[in-house]
Formats: sequence, C-alpha cells, structure tokens
Amino acid sequence: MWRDAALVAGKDLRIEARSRVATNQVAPFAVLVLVLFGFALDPDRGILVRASAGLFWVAVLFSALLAVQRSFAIEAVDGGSDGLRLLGLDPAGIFLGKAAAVFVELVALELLLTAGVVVLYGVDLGGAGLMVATAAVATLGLAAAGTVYGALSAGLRVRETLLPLLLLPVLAPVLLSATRAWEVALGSSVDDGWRWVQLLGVFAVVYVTFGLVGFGALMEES
Amino acid sequence: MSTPARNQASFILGAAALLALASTIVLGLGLPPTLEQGPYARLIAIHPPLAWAAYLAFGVTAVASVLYLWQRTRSRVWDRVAASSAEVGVVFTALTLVTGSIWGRPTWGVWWTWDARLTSTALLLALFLGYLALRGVQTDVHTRAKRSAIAALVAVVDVPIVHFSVDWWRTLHQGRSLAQLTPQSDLDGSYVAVMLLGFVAMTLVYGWLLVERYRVEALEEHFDDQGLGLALEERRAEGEAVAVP
Amino acid sequence: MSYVLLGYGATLGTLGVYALRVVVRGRALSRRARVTR
Repeated sequence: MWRDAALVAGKDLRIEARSRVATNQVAPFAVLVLVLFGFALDPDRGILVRASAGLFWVAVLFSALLAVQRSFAIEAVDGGSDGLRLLGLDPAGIFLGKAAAVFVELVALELLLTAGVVVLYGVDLGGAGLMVATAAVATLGLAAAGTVYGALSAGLRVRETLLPLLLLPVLAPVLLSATRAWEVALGSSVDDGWRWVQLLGVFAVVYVTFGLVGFGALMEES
Repeated sequence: MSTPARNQASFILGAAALLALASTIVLGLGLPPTLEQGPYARLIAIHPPLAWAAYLAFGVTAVASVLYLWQRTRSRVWDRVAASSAEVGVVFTALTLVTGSIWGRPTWGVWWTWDARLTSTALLLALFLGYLALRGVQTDVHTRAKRSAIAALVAVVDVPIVHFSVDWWRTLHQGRSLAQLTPQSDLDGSYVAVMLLGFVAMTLVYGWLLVERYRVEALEEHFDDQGLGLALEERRAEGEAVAVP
Repeated sequence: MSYVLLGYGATLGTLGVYALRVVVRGRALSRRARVTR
C-alpha cells in the first residue's frame, strides 16, 4: 500500500512539475485572491490584519478546490483511472498517493500565501508552533476530504460546478477551526488554540479513514 | 408497481398525517400567549417537530445508504429510500430554518443570527443540497447509487464535526448565550402537549411523503430502465397505426 | 401574531405544494405505466 501510494504521489507531482499548471495557474490565482481581498476590504490595514487569518484560509480553500479538480482531471484523459486500476494498485494506496500529492501542493501554496499575507497585509507572524501544527493538520484534512470528493465527482459531466457545492460545506469546519487557531497564533484573539488543532485532527483522521476504506468502492466503476 | 393494498396503506397514512397536522395547527394557534414571548411561542408547535422530522429523514438516508453499500443487503430499494428520504429531509430542513427565522425576527429582533444551532442546520442543508445535486447527475444507475450512498455517509460523518466547531466558535464569541432565550425556558403543560402532537404529526407527514416520493422514484427508474425499448415500441406502434388504414 | 401566521402559512404552503408535486408526478407516472403495460 505504501509503495503504491508513493508511486501515485510521485506520478501526480511529476505531472504537476512538468505541466506547470500548479505554478502557472493555481499559485497566481491564490495570490490574486489575496489582492482582491485587499481591494474589497479597504487597505486601511486594521481590517486586513484582523481578518488575515480568515482571508488566508478562504484563499487556501479556493486553491484546494482547484488542486483537487486538477488532481482528477489528469486521470480523466486517456482512461487514466482505468489504467491505474489495471496496474493492480491498491485502492487505499491510490487514495493515499493522490491525497499526498494534493497535500504537498497545498503546503507549497500555503507557504506562498503566508508570504503574501506578510507582504501585502503587513501581518506580524507569531506563535510559529501553533501556526505550523494547524496548517499541517488542516491541510491533511483538506487533502483527504478533497480527494474523497474528487473521486465522487470524477467522470461526471457537471463535475466543475458539482465539486464546490459538495466540498465547501464539508470543509466549513476546517475553515472555522484553522482560522480560529491562526487568530490565536497571530495574537488577534485569546483562546485555547490547540483545542482547534485537536478538532482539525479529528476531521483529518475521519476523512483519511473514510478514504482508505471507501476509495476501493469509488474506483470500482466510473 | 403500485398494488391496491399499498395505495390503501398510503391513503390511510396520508389521512392520519393530514388529521394530525390539522389538529396541531388548530391547537397550536389556540395556545395562550406566554409572558416572555407573547404570541410567538405558538410557533413551538411546529418548529421543533420540523427539525425532528428533518433529522429523522437524514437518519433514514444514512441507514439506507449503509444498507445499500453492504453487499449482503444491497438492493436498489435502499437507494430509492435514501434518495426519497433526503429530498423530503431537505424540505423539512428548509422549513426548520424558515420557521426559526420567522420566530427569531420578533423575538431576537433579527432574521438571522450566527447562533450555533442555526449555523449547523444551515450547513446540514447545504450538505444535503449537494447530495441531491450529485443524485441529479445523469449517469449509470449503479454508479450513481454507490456514489450517492458514499456521499450521504461522508455528509453524515461531517455533521458532528460541524456541530462541535460551530458550537465552540459561538460560545466563545458571545457573552450571552441565546440558549437562555430558547423557547424551552417557559413551557407549561399545554405547550408540551401540543408540541408532542406536533412531533406525531410531522413524523406522519414525513412517513407519507416518503412513501409517495418512493413510488415516484421507483416509477421513474422503471421508465429509465426500459426507456429506449419503450420508445422504440411506441414508434413502431405509431408506424402500425398509420399503416393499418 | 402576524409572524405566527406567517410561520404556519409557510410550513403548510411549502408542505402542501411539495406533496401536491409528488402526488401529481406519481399519478402521471402510474397512469403511463398502466397505458404502456
């Protein structure tokens, strides 16, 4: 299973590295979202700094949608998903691999967006441990849930509009928890930030488990 | 497809639901005004029962989805039950939000507030709207059934997480909990009785809607299955009809 | 009081319209099933 996962993750990441869709389209899109927030909320920096945790995670959520869509679009052409099945790869391994690839892409995006928040909004970073832990656990949840829903809507005719409708309500707790934890880390609210990390952990565990168990059924026929 | 016995059962269920609903409304509107909320507490006869029916509907969807996914009980019956129940549940959830909002306007002074329960109910509605959208996509029946069942379970698994996150969020940012103002605080006997009647009524309404909706689902699948063959036959019949005279 | 009536009306109206839609669709389909059988 782990070997299969590494193979699939390697394949997806290599495709991304060569096609440069992630670097040339998704990353600029994410930064553009940050700039648009700057237009929408008066660059009177008070609002932007206070809202920066929420804006950051909204930008991550939108980029995650693109990343998941992209992750299944590369399988859709030339019967890629049939090929994966015919290779006799373990479905749980395929799930882990695809989720891992999305995870890596999202982490890269988050680094970029963090830089964007610091440069564009003038946020002072703090509480590094809490920030990193939150980002890691939240991204794991995003990648796992995203991969499950990507597979659910893969191969359907209206998947471009269906995926956001299916995925965004499910990810609402991630947005909520990650934002609260970052607000604590950035010092704009006083709360027990680690409690939110625990909730994010539960979310991640639930969806990773779901993916490991259910991905076989999803891949069987599509 | 529809036997006389089943039609009769559905008729009796429908009549019982109508009767219970009618008496709930008559009694509910006749409740005495309370000190805290005046006449608005009368909405309690329908609002909690609507919420209950919504939860019941989504519970049935989840159970039916599990039964479909489990190989030994796999049957298209469960897929149809899940689909019908989810649609009815969405209607009930929307009504729960609407009646809650109508109650909130005179009582809290706002149509909407980011109360924990309101927010998680709204997210529940969004989750199952997505489920219905997934069901609406034209594709192979078995693929659709399987994917929908998984989607329903993923949505149901999300509900407690949503609940916790929203709960923590709101209790932190709010000095005074709206829970103090929720209707339960000023209940007397007649309210409890009418509300219980409301629960019975909404459960019956749900059951009847589920039966009727199931029949539509089954008939639609029936026609989808033989759609092509039927269309060919019809064209042929037309051709013969023209040829005979 | 008007809010109360609004709430009851919305509930009855929505449930009524939905039930009517389902029943009418069911009738139409079962008639079609009888005709084509």
